Amino acid sequence: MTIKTPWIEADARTGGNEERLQAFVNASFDLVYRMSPDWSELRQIDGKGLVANAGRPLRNWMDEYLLPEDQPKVRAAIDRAIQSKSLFEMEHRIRRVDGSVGWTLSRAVPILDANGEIVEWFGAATDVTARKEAREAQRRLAAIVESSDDAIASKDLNGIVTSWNKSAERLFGYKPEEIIGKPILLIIPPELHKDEDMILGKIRRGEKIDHFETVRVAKNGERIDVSLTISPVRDERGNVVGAAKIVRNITENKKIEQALRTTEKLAAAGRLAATVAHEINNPLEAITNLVYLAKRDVANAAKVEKYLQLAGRELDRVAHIARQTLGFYRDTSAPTTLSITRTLDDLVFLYEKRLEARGIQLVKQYGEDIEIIALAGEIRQALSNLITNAIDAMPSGGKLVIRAAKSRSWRDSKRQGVRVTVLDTGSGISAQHLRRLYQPFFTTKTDVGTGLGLWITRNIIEKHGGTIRVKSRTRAASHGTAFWVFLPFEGKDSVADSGTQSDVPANTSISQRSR
Amino acid sequence: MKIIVVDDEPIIVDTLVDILTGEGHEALAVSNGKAAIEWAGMVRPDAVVTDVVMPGLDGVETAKEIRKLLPSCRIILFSGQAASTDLVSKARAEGYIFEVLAKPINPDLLLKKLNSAPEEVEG
Repeated sequence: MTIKTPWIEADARTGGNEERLQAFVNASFDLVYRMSPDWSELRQIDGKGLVANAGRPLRNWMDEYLLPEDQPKVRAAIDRAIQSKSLFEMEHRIRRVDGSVGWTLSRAVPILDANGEIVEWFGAATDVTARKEAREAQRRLAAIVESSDDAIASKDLNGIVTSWNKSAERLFGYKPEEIIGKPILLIIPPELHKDEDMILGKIRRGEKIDHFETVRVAKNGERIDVSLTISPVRDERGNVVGAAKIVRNITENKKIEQALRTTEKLAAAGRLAATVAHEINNPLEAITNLVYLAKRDVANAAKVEKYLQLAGRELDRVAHIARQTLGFYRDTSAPTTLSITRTLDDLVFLYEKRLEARGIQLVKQYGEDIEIIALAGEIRQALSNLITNAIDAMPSGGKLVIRAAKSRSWRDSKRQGVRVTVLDTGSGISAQHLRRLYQPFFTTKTDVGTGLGLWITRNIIEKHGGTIRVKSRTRAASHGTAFWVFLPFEGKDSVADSGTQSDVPANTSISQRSR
Repeated sequence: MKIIVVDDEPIIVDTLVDILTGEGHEALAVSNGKAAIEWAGMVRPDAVVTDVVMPGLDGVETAKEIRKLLPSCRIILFSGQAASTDLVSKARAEGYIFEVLAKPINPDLLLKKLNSAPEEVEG
């Protein structure tokens, strides 16, 4: 596109440089325009594809190019420029050729004649929409970061803090000027400093860290349970140059979790008491009757002997149940050697009547004694929850398979332990329920249970460094549910890469041998 | 007195029947609710002593059926579980009032109870 010479006619001082000026106009990205001395007439405009070209002088150019509400402001700036015969410069909105509204930075210089009067204005305008939007987006993001309830900070690859928002200041007590430029280790407890190496290592490899639960320390020394989400920050070439981290204070959540755990313990104790009452009162009923009969038939030695023999057997049963159950929920605070197979035997014995009553066939698939070091009461509770769930899933009979075998962790084949399988042939769990299975208060049993059983089961297993998996089928031809639990032989040692490390309360040292 | 004893634990029904027979009653042992209702229709007992928590038909449902069949038959429920009180109060809300004894029952007490008039159960 070639612009004809009127650009040049206007400028008295450009004399013989017409071609050079023309070339300059053509080469420019900017739209260029000429205005009458009082700006009442737009004499010429080359819109450069940004705004519409005008082939002839336009008197209503303001209505053509500007939004009505912007006109007074622009007019005022023009008047000031005319008065001072100096540069007009303004960032304002314009109607673009495609009908959209954009932003432009417009500048115009007055061309003066020999008497110093304005002959014409010569102007250029740049589309700054993208730049302006980027700036706004940045401001918006900055405002979001600043106003976030979560603490948000960033650091470089050496772990030096590069930004620090208001919530970070509130949570940790450091003002931005106190911590920016300092190592992030300031907020990491000394014993967890090795965490930072792990975090930086992952970030350098471009990996994200999601909801890593750990502990941080505030300026006043207070320890805070936090959940960290850390993402690598890249430069425009994609190189990792630092990390942005969001820190959520989960101290309250931790307290609530503890309360839920206690609730479930009480509820489990209540359910257990009901089971125990039934299991103990029945043999007691039999013994009472047998003692009555022995007294009645005291002259008949053979009969009395038979009654006493039967009574003895029932007494054994009561004693066994009492032994099993009274030790059941004892709050063992130190890990001990625990036989998984014997624990399973005890549980099966306890629920034997219930299995018989429902016509559930029990298949035990374990032989050798397998011992682990763990919190015995908790492991019993976890396994008991799985077995009672399986029984509840089969109200009108079925098959309960309990398997235990030495195995290796699914996650880390170097970790050895025991794998327990609890499999039922009940109706199965639908996919939609399966997703919510481990959530607290999720239950399909409205009459019994708190909906905390599986949640607490997983808690216990993960606390011991184990894992739990479930698979379920609801098809008519093949239905049922299987839970697999892996428990390492010796609690858990340092598992820096699993997000649940700080789940282990400080006062239980599970890896400590107590034989 | 003709008495049917219902419990899913054989040793309990057997010993109770032995005790009742020794006192001159005619006692019959059955192991579940369905059988109890069938036998009640045939032998028309004066009393039924039944466990509450049993597989299949529970003791309260069994008692309700027998009450419909033989309104004058004495029915005594016995149970070792707290859960059974819920069943009993549900039945009471439906207008069925049964005597309830907690396991283990002292046999002398049971015999005395059977020989006396049923007492009003508090509501």
